[in-house]
Amino acid sequence: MGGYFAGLLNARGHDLPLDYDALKGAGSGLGCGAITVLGPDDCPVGVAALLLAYFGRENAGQCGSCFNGTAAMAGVALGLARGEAGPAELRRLEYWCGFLPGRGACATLDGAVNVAATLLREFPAEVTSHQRDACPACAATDFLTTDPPLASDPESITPHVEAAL
Amino acid sequence: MKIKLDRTLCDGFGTCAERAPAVFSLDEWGYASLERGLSADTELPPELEQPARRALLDCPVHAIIERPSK
Repeated sequence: MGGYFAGLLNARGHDLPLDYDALKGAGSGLGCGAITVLGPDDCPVGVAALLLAYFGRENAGQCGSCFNGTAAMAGVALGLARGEAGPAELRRLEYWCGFLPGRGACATLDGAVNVAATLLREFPAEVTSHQRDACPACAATDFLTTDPPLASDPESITPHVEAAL
Repeated sequence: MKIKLDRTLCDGFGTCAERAPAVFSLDEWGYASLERGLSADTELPPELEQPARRALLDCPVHAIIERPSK
């Protein structure tokens, strides 16, 4: 929702008005207004892994908590997408979601934390199933070289995410 | 006394958390942040001033800066 930094929102987003206050009240945000709608074949875990990899790759590299924290969260998300993450990794991810916000000089780290925190909050069933079963959508994605879905240019959207607004 | 922590200068030596553990917290990679509830606008309580100043003087990269307080 509303930019990479506002994180993910599950299907309840369909019923929310496109309004700063309403989305804020729902624990999300309209932010810069750039929204990507995920289709039925898209995997929220895979999208979160792409977004966290982006934050890990594209941060300014200035604050230790940020360049370590984003890389660490990206690592867990990648492990989850590949079906390699277990309860211990998820506990670490939850811990970082509570511990890392505010530790960077700017809000890049907070934005990355939003992606991880909203994945855990909005898609708990998907997170659980990725610990158990292989995900075909994630298996078909190259997480190291694919950019996250862009809201602005439908032509540039990866095959991973088909519907965009 | 008010202090500011420049997180972009911090190289994770951890000296500040040794000198003033009530003022600085380290993440698991050793990088510092002000403890929860403290900010660059917080007037430190008197009992924390001496350890905070020790941390400021001992920081190898001068990432702790004293702010003028009225």
